[in-house]
Amino acid sequence: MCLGTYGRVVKIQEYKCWIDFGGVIEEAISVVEDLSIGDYVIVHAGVVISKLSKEEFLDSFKYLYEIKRKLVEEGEQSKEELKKLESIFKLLID
Amino acid sequence: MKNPEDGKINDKTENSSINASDLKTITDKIFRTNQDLASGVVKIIETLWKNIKSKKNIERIRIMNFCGTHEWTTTRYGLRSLLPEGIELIAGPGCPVCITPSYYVEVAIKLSLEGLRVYTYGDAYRLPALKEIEGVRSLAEAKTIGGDVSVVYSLLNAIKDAQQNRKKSVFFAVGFETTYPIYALAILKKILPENFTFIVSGRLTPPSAEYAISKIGKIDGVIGPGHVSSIIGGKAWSFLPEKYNIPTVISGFEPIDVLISVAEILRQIDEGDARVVIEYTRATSWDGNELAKKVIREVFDVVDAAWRGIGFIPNSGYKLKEENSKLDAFDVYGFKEPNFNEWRYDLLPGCKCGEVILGKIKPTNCPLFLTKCTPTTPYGPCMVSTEGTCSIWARFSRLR
Ligand code: SF4
Ligand code: SF4
Repeated sequence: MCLGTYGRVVKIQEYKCWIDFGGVIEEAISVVEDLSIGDYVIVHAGVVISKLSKEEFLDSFKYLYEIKRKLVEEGEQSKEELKKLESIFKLLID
Repeated sequence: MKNPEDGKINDKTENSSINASDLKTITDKIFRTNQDLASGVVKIIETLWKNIKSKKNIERIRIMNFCGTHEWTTTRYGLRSLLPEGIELIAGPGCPVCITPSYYVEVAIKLSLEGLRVYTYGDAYRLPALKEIEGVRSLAEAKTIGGDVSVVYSLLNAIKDAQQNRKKSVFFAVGFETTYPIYALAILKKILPENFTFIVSGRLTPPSAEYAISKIGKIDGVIGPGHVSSIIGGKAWSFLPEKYNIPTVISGFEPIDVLISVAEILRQIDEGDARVVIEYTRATSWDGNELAKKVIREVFDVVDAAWRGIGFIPNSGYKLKEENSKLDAFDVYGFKEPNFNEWRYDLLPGCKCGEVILGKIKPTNCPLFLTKCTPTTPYGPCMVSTEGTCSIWARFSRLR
């Protein structure tokens, strides 16, 4: 529950917002006040806790990717997982 | 276990000391040239450590983290084996699931068997209780005998589901400071369906950090939790340097973040400095998130609270304010929380989670570790959650 997840804001309605996690859109509540559509965010158990610049998002994503790659290499996860992550990445980046 | 030879980088030590701006440059460059950078930071750590040892006549220092994700990174990437002999990284209370008192789990099981729908995060789903309720010990087991349990990713999923099925429902609100703004906002914005209640088992990290330090003796540095601090701010940790003279770095979660934090702690020790430094600047500020702190304050009081296997810690738990008591499952369904005098040790016989959580022992010091207690058959709470120290060590033990 604690590992944050990265996504992108697609819709905002007051304190609520909708986050694209790479194809899957989930509703979230934001405690970050100056949120705009297209922002990269860290979401923690349904709460947007902070905003990231595109560069920071790329860095964080690279880290996730590296973990997945290691897990796949060590046979702890299937190659599909890595492909899924790649397609999520493509959907989130422009 | 420590293997100082591993990953040791060719050391052409001059008597250089690094300063804060060097560290900043390193942080900025970090992600571009990860590998080289990691070696660079390890080299800095070795230089500083040599200085400290000769200057101050110290042989060993202990650096504690308070975040399951930091422990995960440390263990997963074998960071312990990258550090020179004498620098110990210890896991402190960093997982909100592990320290959730057993009686909350017992109440959740009872309610699920009485026909309420219980919403829980995945991590708490398998959390074992001390006492059996109708022959079962966890929400997962309760479900197999007809308990109504639903695993959700967030409160909003639960609200949506509860609106549709209109059943009486209860949300098992396990978590540290990061998970609490959402409950507060949902209550303030009045978006909860009727008959929706909470088992409020939220806990605060700085008080538990202070408690752990009081129990295990001297700690030389603290790696502070990044996400918790996005909410409470770096300043919530200033008691560590001010009261205990402990260098503290609020760190990000990548291996390089943790290494840089260790380097910064060593720099402070070397220069006789102690302060809070935020390394995780991409998501944390000094003041934290004012809105989140404000809504939590409006809805919850901070009270003395029990930690599983440990006991009561002053000012370490959230409780719904009087005016919100109709949302408190304990009040609504007639359960009473044990107070300080009524609290009983709540780990199964032989499980040493309490000591693991306080950093007194390593998981490998528990005789049940990877014998009776494994990730597939967890016996104690620290083996259940993905952020539990025992579970992390069990999954990645070959890497240490
Ligand atoms: S909430 Fe964040 S800081 Fe705390 S344990 Fe989880 S990941 Fe670590
Ligand atoms: S190994 Fe299992 S029984 Fe031992 S302390 Fe960890 S969780 Fe408890």
